[in-house]
Amino acid sequence: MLIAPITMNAESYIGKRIERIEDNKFITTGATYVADVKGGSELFVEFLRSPIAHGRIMSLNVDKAKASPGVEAIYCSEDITLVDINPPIPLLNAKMVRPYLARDRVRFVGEPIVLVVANSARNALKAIEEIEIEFEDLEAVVSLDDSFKGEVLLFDESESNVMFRSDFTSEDGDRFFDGCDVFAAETIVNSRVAPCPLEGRSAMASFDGEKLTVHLSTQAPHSAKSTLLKVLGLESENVHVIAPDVGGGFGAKIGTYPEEILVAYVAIALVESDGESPNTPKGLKSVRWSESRNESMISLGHGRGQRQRIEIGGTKEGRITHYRLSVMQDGGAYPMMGAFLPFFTRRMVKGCYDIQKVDFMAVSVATNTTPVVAYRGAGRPEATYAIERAVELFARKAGLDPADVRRKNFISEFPYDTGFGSVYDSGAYLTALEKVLDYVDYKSLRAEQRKMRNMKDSNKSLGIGISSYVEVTHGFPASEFGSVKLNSDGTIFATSGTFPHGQGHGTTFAQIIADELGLSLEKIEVFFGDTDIIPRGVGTFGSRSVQSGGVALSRASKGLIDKTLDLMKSEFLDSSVFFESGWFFVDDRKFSWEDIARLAGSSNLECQVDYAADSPTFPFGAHVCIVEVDVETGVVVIKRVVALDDAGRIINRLLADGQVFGGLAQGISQALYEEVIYDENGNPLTSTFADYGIPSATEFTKFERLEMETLTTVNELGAKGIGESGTIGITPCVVNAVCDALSHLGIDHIDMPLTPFKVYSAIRERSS
Amino acid sequence: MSWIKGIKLLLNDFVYKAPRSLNEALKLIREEDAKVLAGGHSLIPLMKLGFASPESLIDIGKLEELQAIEETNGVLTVGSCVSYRALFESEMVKSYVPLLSKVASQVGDPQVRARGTVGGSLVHGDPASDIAGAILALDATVELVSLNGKGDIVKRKVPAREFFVGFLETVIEDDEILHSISFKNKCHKFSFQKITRREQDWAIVGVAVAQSMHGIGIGLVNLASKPVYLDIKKYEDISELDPEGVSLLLDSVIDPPADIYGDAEYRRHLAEVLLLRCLKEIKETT
Ligand SMILES: Cc1cc2nc3c(=O)[nH]c(=O)nc-3n(C[C@H](O)[C@H](O)[C@H](O)COP(=O)(O)OP(=O)(O)OC[C@H]3O[C@@H](n4cnc5c(N)ncnc54)[C@H](O)[C@@H]3O)c2cc1C
Repeated sequence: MLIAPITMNAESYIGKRIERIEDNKFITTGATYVADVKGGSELFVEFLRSPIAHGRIMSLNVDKAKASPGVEAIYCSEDITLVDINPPIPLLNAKMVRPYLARDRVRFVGEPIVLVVANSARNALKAIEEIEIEFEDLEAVVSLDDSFKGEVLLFDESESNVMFRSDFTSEDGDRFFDGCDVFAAETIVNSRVAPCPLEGRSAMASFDGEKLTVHLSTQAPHSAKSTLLKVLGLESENVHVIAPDVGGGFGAKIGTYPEEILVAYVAIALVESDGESPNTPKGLKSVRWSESRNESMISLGHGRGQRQRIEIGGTKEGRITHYRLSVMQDGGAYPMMGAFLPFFTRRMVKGCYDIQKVDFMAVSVATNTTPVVAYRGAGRPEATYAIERAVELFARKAGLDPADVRRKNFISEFPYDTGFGSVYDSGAYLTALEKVLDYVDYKSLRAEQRKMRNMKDSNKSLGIGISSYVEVTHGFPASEFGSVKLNSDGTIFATSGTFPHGQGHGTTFAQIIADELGLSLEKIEVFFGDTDIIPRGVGTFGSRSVQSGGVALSRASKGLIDKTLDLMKSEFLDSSVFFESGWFFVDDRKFSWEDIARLAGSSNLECQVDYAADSPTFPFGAHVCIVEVDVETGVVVIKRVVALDDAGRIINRLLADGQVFGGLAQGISQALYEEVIYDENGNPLTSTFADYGIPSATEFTKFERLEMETLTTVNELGAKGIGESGTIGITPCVVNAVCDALSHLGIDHIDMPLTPFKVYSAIRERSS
Repeated sequence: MSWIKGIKLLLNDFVYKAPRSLNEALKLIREEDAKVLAGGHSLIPLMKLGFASPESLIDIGKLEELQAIEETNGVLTVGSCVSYRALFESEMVKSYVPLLSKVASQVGDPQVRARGTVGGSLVHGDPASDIAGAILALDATVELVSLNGKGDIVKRKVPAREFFVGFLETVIEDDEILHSISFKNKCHKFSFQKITRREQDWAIVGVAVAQSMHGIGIGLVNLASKPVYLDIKKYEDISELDPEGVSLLLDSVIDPPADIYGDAEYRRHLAEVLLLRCLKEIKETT
């Protein structure tokens, strides 16, 4: 389909820097999170969670706990009548089935075993202390190699620990790189991280005998609804999901977790079991659960967690001709999205480079650790990290400047079919790189680096890191809903099936609608997150919202204009009727939206659109990072971060900055600070913010952002996604910078996070 | 079964008492299972983890007498309940022992500095306490108070260098309250170096050095089971100290811990590097 791009002029809201309409509420106490929602007579759910990584439950006695003050009900696995959870995707090992509460066996520290309902969270917790339980320890499978070997199996039903597998297509094996002048290889780890949304998971459910209402901290209320109705066996009209304000998700709140489903299950079960209890006055019961930070650190899904073997070859002039990536993905204890991340990695395996011969393989394995899910970028940062580290190693091996090697290998013609399931829509990779290099004056930087290296007695080493990236947004184009309705006072009420959890769609989408309708921004309210008000929806993840929900609303706005024109035409027969800049012209008269609202009276002027894009889009960019490494202590200091992220048309420059800056912070943080660590018995060592390297603003320097807008033709807005790009480009950039700083010491690679200890250890190892 | 602790906040019940005088506070802490509460930044985390479960908390944070910073007869006295923020905002402290201001400005994050107190940190006795490193280097004196048989307040003075006994252990008795810390020497030549993973983190290793007319004092942070004082009296001129000398000296007092932020060897190495840097900085201070 040929899509006519939108027209813009100086007055357009699109493209401006506009402060978020939502800001006031979020920076004061105005926001309402699930835990703030009042719910009548309330019951509280808490979970007894496994304290060991792998074991058999030998005995479990909840009698004393039942007698504990305030306890309403206690559920063990056999009390839950739901069908066990199958892997979310058919391609994953179907034998790895998860019970809602651990049955006989526990598979990670933090796995829920017993659910306690009481009249206060405190009483529920006190009751949990009364539970008697005995385990028989089983050997914990923590390392990827142990899991792959399969001597200890996590699931008796499955003959291996493999969750997902995708093999090389080439049969060349060892001869794959034949004919390359230059060859470099390394085994690198893309560390496991914790998503750490500021608001943890939270759910509140109530059931009136017929209808289930669930307040949920989620990125995708409609998907949550379909999961709930399927699992609980309810009719669609009897499930109402409301996502109030949500304090972040980063991918980890796309799916619906067992704990959340159990809260809904309990709300129904308690009503059906009659409600006669000393603790619960008759009437509507709401049941709620909010996780603590520590609980979140061990039972909200983790992200990344790949070990990669990168192999790269090419000519001595710097043309890369061969590249092979083997991935071992840590899926954690149960297959969730994480087990499937290599699929996304595969899609972006080539990065921005036109490489003739490329191959990919992946194995996802189960370990006795927290399950892995999608986390900001989900599989794509891993692909970028691999190829950008590989290119760096290749350049070093060839004795060439890494910028030059990139210049020689960029894809420059579009659309470009990678042969790995991606067709890049548009891009200008070389321009992006040249822009950032010019901006930082790359040549002078290299000169300064040489000068510093020749200085005697200096313990500081300068490092310059580059990365070029391309990524995929709206990876699986799915239909998204948008509706635009004219209120009786001439203002607009719009709804969208996407769901902002910090991004500010309320502002961005209002800009899109305002431009179409020729209205000022204040007249437009965009509403999200209520499945009774919004009939359909997909949610917000994978940087999809503007290019799906935004386009739907743009079209719904156009549709509203058309509908109004039709109405006018039937009203004013034989007149010339047209719409321009917010006015309906009828012969020599003109009508505003307010006039229309009055004229229309009670007739419903609303337009609903379901829009599905034909294909994903492929944002790209180039980042440069300058670091100073103290070679005596291993301390890395970031001096500068320059990022060019091209996501096609930018709707709101300020919010785009916000997305990129936040992404950069998370990406830098993975490179330098964050890593989920387990000991050899599967005990989490990083389950508090004291141990886990979550950064604060103090850790970052000022980010410098360069703008570039290479429009996509996939949609009329010309927009791609910008929610994850910062995270995707910067992580390898920082690691490249640190390794660049240490190259003269013969250090090729250090695994993330580049803590002072790790950096110093690498130096120590080299010098001894 | 208490593994729920640490995963979910479940504090045991306790009684909170806020005495209006030091005397009253000293009486209250003699009751069974009573614990002094100052800023709560060490104690409350211990209670959350189930490592401490006092019956009553005696909040001394509101006693004005423990918040004072004053100079009498050339001696600077800092009350035990002075927060880090009050410490680094004090001009008097800055002019007397600027090392203390500098160290206070680098403890934890703004919230920790707003509530955490000097006395709390010292009594908690964490080997990684920055302020402990500073008071060791500055050769401060710790003043403890308790009630005698007649109910009168009596004082006991302990040199900082004798205050720390072992891991989270000091010489303070259960019926004593740390009243204040005093500094008898002005000291303008100093250096404080610490390596942290993140800005707000505890020191992986820290070194505090102070030079006054009475000599050089060195306090070592997170290098043994308690804050350590390093004696280099025998070196009259610190420029005599070469890396080898420093290394030997350190080995005589340190026993570095190992964790995910560094092994013992790394910490030992950092101690050496930081100490040399401190000494260099001091030498360059005029
Ligand atoms: C997030 C975080 C980061 C931190 N980072 C650092 C850091 O970088 N560097 C560092 O050095 N420290 C750090 N700390 C520790 C902090 O310095 C101490 O927790 C704080 O100073 C303790 O003082 P408080 O007043 O809060 O003590 P409290 O917690 O109230 O008390 C601690 C202990 O001392 C006892 N006590 C307190 N005052 C007295 C008194 N006057 N007499 C007798 N007993 C008393 C209490 O009974 C208790 O046993 C950090 C703490 C947190 C929570």
